Amino acid sequence: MSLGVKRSLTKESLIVGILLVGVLVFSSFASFAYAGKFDLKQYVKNADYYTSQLSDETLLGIIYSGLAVLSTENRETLSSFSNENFLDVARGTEEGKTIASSLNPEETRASEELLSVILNGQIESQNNGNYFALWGKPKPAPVAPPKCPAKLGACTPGQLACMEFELPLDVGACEYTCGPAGTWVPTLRCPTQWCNANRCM
Amino acid sequence: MDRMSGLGPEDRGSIPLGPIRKMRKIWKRDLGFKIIGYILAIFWVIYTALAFSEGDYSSSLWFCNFTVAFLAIACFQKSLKKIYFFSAMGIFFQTPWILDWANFLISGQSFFGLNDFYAGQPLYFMILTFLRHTVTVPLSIVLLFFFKPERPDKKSVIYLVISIIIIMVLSYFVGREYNINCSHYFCAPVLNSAAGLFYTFSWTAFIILLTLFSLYFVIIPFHRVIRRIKLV
Repeated sequence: MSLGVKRSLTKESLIVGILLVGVLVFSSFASFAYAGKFDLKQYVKNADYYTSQLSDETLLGIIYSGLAVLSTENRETLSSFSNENFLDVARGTEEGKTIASSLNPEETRASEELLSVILNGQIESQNNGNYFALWGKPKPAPVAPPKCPAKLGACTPGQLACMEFELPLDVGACEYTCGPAGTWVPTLRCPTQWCNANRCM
Repeated sequence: MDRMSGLGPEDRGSIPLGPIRKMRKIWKRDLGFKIIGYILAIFWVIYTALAFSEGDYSSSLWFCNFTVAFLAIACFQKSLKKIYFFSAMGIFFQTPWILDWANFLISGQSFFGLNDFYAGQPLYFMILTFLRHTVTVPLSIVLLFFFKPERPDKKSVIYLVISIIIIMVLSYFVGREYNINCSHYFCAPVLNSAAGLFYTFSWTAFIILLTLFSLYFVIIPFHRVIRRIKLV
């Protein structure tokens, strides 16, 4: 009897041992592969935890700061999102969860890129101190805004523009994104003096 | 009637009771280890499955998590050495987290920044994590009661040290953002300016030294004391 018990114990320890090694190896590779990436559907489940202390205005400020550093392709993919859509997703409302589950692959990729940019602390906005504090990440060093002249005129939030300018002491071009208040926010000083459609050349 | 053997007083002269009693005791002890091993293994499988389903792959690499499986194996194998090794590490590296959990639940403050660690994690996940932290070290101490004190052989201790080094190397290369087993910077936010490769080397060396100190000067002597005072 004692031997029988002993044999089965060895078998069980072997199974748990193999499982343990498998989990450790898989976890290492998976963690490495997913480093810095965020799953939108997982995020919306717990979004309230992160955003409940932030006002709509602050939240939109963070989102637009994130949009400004996204690739142009991803930014254009998300241009169909309204402010309400962004807020719903950011707050994880029922509507936000529906939006997150109904996105096409391009929109999902772009949204997750935006989420990664925001949550990895790659952006800087005036109001995101709380956000970074919530995530326990050190607030990144302030980044100087691009040296661009103000672009006048009303716009639709999320809209992109590029403007070439010739000032007495400065010549160049800048990219702008339309902020939540419907005004242009400079996002990038172009490396050349020229624009190509809504982007730097 | 004898409760353990099931024999009446009249039978005692003909059949020696010692071996039967001993066999039953061993069988009960084996069963106890088996049950504890199963509970730990099932707990670890559930926790890992839930973590994976949440897209959280890195939490499986934390010492406090994989050692649940390690402890389950120790139970299945009835290995005193493994229980010693877990206790030696857990007593100094897991107990502070248990105390921090208590502090966090009472005051909402956390030395190790638990509110950041569990930011956005579902409540059931936090409860499982809490259980995992609070149960394993006391359990390993309880398991010591079933063994006679025994000094682990040098070879096993060398394997332990090599295992710690492998785990820390693995933790380091998974990435800084996860900071698995505090391999990139110190886990307490107030001291996380301690970082860099020098920190990683020092931290690994510290873990090894403290584990060995704990093994030879805390756990084994403690085990000898509890045997001597006839608690078991």
